[in-house]
Amino acid sequence: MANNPSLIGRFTRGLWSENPVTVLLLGMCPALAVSNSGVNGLAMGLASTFVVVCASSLVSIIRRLVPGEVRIPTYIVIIAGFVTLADLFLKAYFPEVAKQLGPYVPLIVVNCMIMGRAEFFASKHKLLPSIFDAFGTGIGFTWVLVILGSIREILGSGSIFNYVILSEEVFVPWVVMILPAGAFISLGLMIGLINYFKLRAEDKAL
Amino acid sequence: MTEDINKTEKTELPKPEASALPPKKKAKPKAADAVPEVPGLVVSSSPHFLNTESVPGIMHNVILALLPACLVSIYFFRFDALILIVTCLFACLLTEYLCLKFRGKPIVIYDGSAAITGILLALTLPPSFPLYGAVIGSVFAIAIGKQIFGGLGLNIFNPALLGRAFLQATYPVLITTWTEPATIGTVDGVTAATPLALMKFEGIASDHLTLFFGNTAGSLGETSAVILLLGGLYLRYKGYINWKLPLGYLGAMALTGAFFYFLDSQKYPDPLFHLLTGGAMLGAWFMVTDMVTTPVTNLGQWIFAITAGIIAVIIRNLGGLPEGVMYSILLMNSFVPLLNRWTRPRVFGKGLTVETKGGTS
Amino acid sequence: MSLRDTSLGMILTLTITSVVVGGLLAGFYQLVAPRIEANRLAEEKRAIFAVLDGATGYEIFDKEIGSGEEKEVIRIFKGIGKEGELKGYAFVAEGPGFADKIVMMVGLNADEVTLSGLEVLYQIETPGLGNKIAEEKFESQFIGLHIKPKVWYVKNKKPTKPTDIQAITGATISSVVVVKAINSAITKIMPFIKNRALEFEVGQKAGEDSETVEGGLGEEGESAEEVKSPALQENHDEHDGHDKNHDHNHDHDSGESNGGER
Repeated sequence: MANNPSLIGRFTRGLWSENPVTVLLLGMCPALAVSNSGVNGLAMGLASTFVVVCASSLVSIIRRLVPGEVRIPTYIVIIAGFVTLADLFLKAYFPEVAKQLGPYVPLIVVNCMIMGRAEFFASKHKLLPSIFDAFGTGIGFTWVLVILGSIREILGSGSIFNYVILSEEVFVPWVVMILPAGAFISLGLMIGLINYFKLRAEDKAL
Repeated sequence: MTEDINKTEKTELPKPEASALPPKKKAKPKAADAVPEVPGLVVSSSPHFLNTESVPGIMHNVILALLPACLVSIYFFRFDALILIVTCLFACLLTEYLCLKFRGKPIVIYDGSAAITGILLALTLPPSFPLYGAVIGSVFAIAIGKQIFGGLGLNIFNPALLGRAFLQATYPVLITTWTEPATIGTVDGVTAATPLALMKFEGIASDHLTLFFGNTAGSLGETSAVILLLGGLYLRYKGYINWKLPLGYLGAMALTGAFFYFLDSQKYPDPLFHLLTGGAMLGAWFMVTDMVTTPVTNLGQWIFAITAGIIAVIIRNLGGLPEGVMYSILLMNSFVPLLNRWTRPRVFGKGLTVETKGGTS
Repeated sequence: MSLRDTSLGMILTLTITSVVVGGLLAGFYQLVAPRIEANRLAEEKRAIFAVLDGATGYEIFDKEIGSGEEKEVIRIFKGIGKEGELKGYAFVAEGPGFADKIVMMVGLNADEVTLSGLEVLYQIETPGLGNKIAEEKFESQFIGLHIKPKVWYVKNKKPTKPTDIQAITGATISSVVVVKAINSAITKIMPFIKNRALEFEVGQKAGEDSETVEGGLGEEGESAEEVKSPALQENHDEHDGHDKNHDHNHDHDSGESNGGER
C-alpha cells in the first residue's frame, strides 16, 4: 500500500484502502458531530480537505528546515492558521453553513487526520506526493461524511441536500438519526458493512 | 421443575453466559411441540452446575408470567393493545429468523427469547403507537440489540429496552402520546397524560388504588401494577428469578423516593407512588431480572439493582423525563461486565468455589 | 551542527512560523472582516424587522442594570417606522435550553402590553421536538400576546387566556424556557421603555440606572403615531442610529447620567 510510489496510488489510498474514517478511524469528532445533513458533511469535508492539503504542502516544503524537537508545535501552528482561514472564509461567504457547523470548524485543528498526514507523510516526502496524499485523504474524508450525512438526513429529516423527498405525511422522520446516537449507529453499521464486503472479497480472492 | 409447560427435558447449562461455547445445540423442533433431544454429554468449562431446566423451558414460563399482563392490557386498551402485541411478537420472531439465517446459525426462534423481547417491547409502548414504529423497534431490538452482539447470551443490553430507547429517540412525540383506557374513556383514543407525567408537569398525584389496579393512561404494561406483581411472583415461585434483583430495585426506588418525599412532600411523590407507576413493576420483575444482562455474583446483583433503583427515581424526580426506569436499567446494563469482574469471588486454593446463586440468574 | 539543531534554531523556527501565520491571518481578516460584520448586521436587521411589523429602521440602546459584580448591559432596539414614528421595541431574550442556550429576538409593541413577534436566533434543541420552537407555527403564537401579568403556556389544548401560548407537545421544557426567558427579559427592559421613556432618546450612548426610573403603568390606549420626536426625524435612516448625539431627555427618567462609555 504505502510502497506504491505512483502519484495516483498516493491519491487513491486515502479514498478506500486507508480511508481516514472507515479504516483508520481518525477524525471521528467531526465525522460524528456534523454529519447530520449532506450539506454539512460536504462543507466539513471540503473545509478539512482544504486544510489538510494546504498544511501538508507547507509542511512538506519546510520539512528540512524544522528541527525535529519542535516539529509538532510548528505543524499545529500551521494547521491552526489554515483552519482559522477556512473559518473566516465560511463566516464571510457562507454564514448559514458556518452557523450550522458552529464550533466544529475551529475544531478541525484537532482533527488527527490532518496532523497524521503532516507527521507521517508530508514531513518525510516531497511536495507533489504530499499534495496527492493529502488530497486523497481529504476527499476520502469528504465522501464518507457526505454519504453518512445523506443517510442521516434522509432518515432523520426526509430530505436530501435540503431537498425534501419524503414529506411528513408519508414518512415520520426518525429523529434519532439527527441526534448523536444516530451518528454512532449509522457510522458503526456503515463501517461494519464495508468490512463485511471487504472480508467477503478477500475470501473470494483466496 | 417438572411443571414445565412444554415438557422439555433437555439438560442444559443454566447460564446463558456460557453460550459463548456453543452448548445450546438445539435439535430441530418438530412442528407441534418442541421436544429437543437430550444430549448425552456436555463437555464444557465451569460452571458445572446442571439442572433439568432448559432455556426454552424458562423462556416459556416467562411468557406465561407475562400473559396476564397482556390480557389486562387488552382489556384496558382493547384492539390497540392486541394488535400491538401481535405485531411486536411477529416482527421480533421474523427478525430473529432472518438474522440467524444470515449469520448461518441454527434457527432457534422457538426458544422463546425473541418472543419475550417482542412482548416486553409491546408492553412498554403506548397503545396508540403506530404499527410501523413497533416493527422498527422490534427489528432494532433483535438485530442491533441482540444479534449484532452474537445472539442470545452475548447481548450487553436488554434488547426490549434497547428497542424502546431507540423508539423513544426516533419518535419522541408518538411515544409520549398516551390514550385513556377504553374502560374509562367514553370516546375512543382520548389523549391523556400518564400519572407520572401528571405528577411531574402538573403536580397532580393519582390515587394509589387506581394505580394498583391500573385504570390509568400509560403504556400497555405500566398500567396495572397488581397483575405484573402476580406474574413476577409466579416467576419467583418457580425459582427463575433471583429475589435480590426485584427487591433491591424496588427497595432502592422506595427508599430514594422516601428521601425525596421527606425533603419536599409538596414537590415529590410518595414512595408508594413510585412503585405503582410507570415501568417500575414491569422493569423490576421482567427486565432487572433478565438473566443475560445482569451480574452473576451476589454482590454484583445487589449493586446492580440498588443503583438502578436510585437512578430511576433520580431521573423521575430531577430529570427532564417523567419516567426513568428504562434508562436506569440500560445504564446499569452497561456496567454488568465491570460488576462481574469487580465482584468475582476470589479463588484461593481449595475450598472456595465460584458461586453462582439461584441456579439460573 | 547546523543552526537547525541548536536551541536558537528551534526558537527561530517557532517564531518565524507564528509570525508568518499570524501575519497571513491578520491580512485575511482585514479582507473579510467587513463581510462578516455585514452578515451579522444583516441578521440583526432581519430579525428585528421580522419581529417589529412595519419598522424600517432601528436605534440601539445599551442600558446598564444592577451594580458592581452583577452589572449587566442590556440592549434594546427601538423600532422606527417610515415616518419616524415609534413602532415598538425589540430585545434579545436568552434562556437555558435542553442542550444549549436558546436565543430569541422578541418584539414588543409600542403599547407596551402586547408582543409583536418572536424570532428564534439560536437553538440546538432536539430535532423534531424542541427545535419546533423555531418554526413559524410556534413563533406566530406570540404575535399579539399579552405580557401582563406574564406570558405563560398551556399544554395540549388551545389557550384561553390572552397571555398564554400552547406548548409544543413532547417539548414542554423548550417551550417553558422560551416563555420564561421572555418574561425575565421583559422585566429587565420594562423600566427603560415604560411610558415611552426611550421615545425622545436617541442613539447609542446612554447609561442610566434602572432603579431611579419612575412612572405609572403605560398608557395602553395611546397610539404610537401621536408623538413625534424631532430628534427621530433626522435620524431615521435605514440603519441603526450609530450616531453619537448625546441627546438625553429627562422627562421620564430622573436618572443620573454617569456617562457610561463602551
